[in-house]
Amino acid sequence: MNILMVGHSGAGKTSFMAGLYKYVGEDTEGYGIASKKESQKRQLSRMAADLTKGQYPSGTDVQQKYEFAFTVVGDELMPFNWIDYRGGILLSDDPDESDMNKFMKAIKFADALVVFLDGEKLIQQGAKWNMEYDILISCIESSLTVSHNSWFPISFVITKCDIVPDGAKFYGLSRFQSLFSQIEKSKTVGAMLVQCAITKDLYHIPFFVLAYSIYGGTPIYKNRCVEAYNAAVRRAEAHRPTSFLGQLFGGVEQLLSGIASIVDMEWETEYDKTWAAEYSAQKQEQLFNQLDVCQKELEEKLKSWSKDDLVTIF
Amino acid sequence: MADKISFYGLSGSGKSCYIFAMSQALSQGVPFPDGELLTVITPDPRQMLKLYKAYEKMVNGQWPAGNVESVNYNFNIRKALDLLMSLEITDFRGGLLDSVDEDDMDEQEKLFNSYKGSSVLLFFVGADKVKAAMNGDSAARFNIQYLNTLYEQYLGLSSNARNTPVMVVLSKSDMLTTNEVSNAKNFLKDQMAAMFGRGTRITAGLTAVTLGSNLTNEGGELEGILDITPTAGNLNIPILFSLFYVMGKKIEDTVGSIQSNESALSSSKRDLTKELSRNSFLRFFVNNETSIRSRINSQSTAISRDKELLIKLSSTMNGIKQYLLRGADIYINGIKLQA
Repeated sequence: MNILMVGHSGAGKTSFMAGLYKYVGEDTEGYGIASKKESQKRQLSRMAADLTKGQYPSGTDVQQKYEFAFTVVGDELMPFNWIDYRGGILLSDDPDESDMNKFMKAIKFADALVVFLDGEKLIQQGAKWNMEYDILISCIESSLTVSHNSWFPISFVITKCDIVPDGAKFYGLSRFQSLFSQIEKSKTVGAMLVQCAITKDLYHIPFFVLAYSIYGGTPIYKNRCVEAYNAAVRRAEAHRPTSFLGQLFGGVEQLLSGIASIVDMEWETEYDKTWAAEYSAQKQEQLFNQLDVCQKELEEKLKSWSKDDLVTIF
Repeated sequence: MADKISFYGLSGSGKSCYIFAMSQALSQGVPFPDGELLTVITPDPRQMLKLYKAYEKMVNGQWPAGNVESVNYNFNIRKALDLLMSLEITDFRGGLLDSVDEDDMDEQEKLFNSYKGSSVLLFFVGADKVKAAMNGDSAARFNIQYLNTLYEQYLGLSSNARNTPVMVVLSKSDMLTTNEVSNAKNFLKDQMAAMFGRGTRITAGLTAVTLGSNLTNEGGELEGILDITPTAGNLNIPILFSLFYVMGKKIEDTVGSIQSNESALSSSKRDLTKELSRNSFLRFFVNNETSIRSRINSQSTAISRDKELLIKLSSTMNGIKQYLLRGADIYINGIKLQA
């Protein structure tokens, strides 16, 4: 699963990342993320530690793909990639072709999108930032061009809310109004809007976004489980002796393989293959159930956050 | 694969400005009677940047310069986020159409060849040109007749050409009074007999578009009032006209797919009856019931999916029809459709 962050330079993508790692790194609420690469783990830990001191990370110079696993009570449940890229690329008249191609490819392969909207800009009236908003809409359009295997979640994150005056109106959101109204009517795309602040004491909001994206991506893994389960069941059926003669031969083969093992000879019988496939099917079933439970728990959490007005879900 | 719409017009006919304005206006969505919005948005952020900058130039009182080279734009047309059509619009650079310069020959040939792969052809004619032609300017009249000649050439290229709908877009219509627009449309209809004549067996549309009111161009300076909103100035009409015919094709395909799936389903049902009537001893050894039932399920799913699509397409086409009948004159075989 690929979760892609889209936003203009300075919108707060990298700080969001630091906040996310700091919060889930504390293994809050039984959920966490485990970094698959040691170097990334060090980098993220440093960013999270700096955040504690009130220092924000500098923006991303090159596209970064963080390889994570979503963990439940310490157990890895599903792998996912979190992609951060250089925000400046979107407004450049002459973007580096290779960077741009990488970005366009990342959009096409995204299974969830996190769109960053700078709160300081959103509160301004007028059309000054419409170009930036339209480019983000174009990025969303691009990600929807690909047919997804699952429902497609888009999180809209209004950043820097700690420096936005209380009660300020986000005028810039009107540019997204037609998109929001379409999402409300869509059965294949969903969206969540969240106001976010990342400070040394306040860094839990990225978890809402992670939960929403993972919730949206769970069906992908559940489908994979179903496919793997069906393949294992088919394999078991293909190897399982069913007729009387087959069972007789199977028994004899089992006996011979027992004798072969005495002389250290490996012999995988039809029954062995059947049992291995059955075990694999059982494992997939377990994983499916874990994913199902996780999906339901996340759904409950999202509902309660929505009820408490912490997030707006379309 | 994207459907191709080709824009043709002489230099200064307003093709590029139409694209810049349309992309802005329609990205915000055209409302439909069912409450859903139809949006036209480029899925390429680089193109969005280019299109927005050109639009911003207009807002800031400057007309964008004409294209020095031909440009392809990609757009997705969605309704309630369901993709209805991917569109490729080719905006050939101004002046290429009637160029006699030898250096332009290769590119010009590309332009003429582009006719063939196009789902819809749009011919842009500026209101200033039409007005001049109506007032006896022979060069302007020649220009308009030249478009008709090109279209006649196109008809000779393929036997299928008559199935491709064509629309003539009277651009910059704010330069004319309501009465003059009506006269200009009649004039264009007469001049472009290859499209609008009786017995042509062609579906042709005629519309007048504008980006605002009292717009003028004095040395690149834009004066007047820009009005770039989804339904203002008929900005949506050329795109909806194109969409209407592409969706018509899609409906035909969907009906075909339903028919073929229904016949396959009947055959599967017969197979199942046959299978169930077989000797149970034989079925113990070779049993096809599960595979036939799964075939029946997938065929039934495909049929209901297509039927749902058909309902959606028909409802969208009805919505488009209302817009088209209000904003354009549609001629089939030279006879105007009445609202």
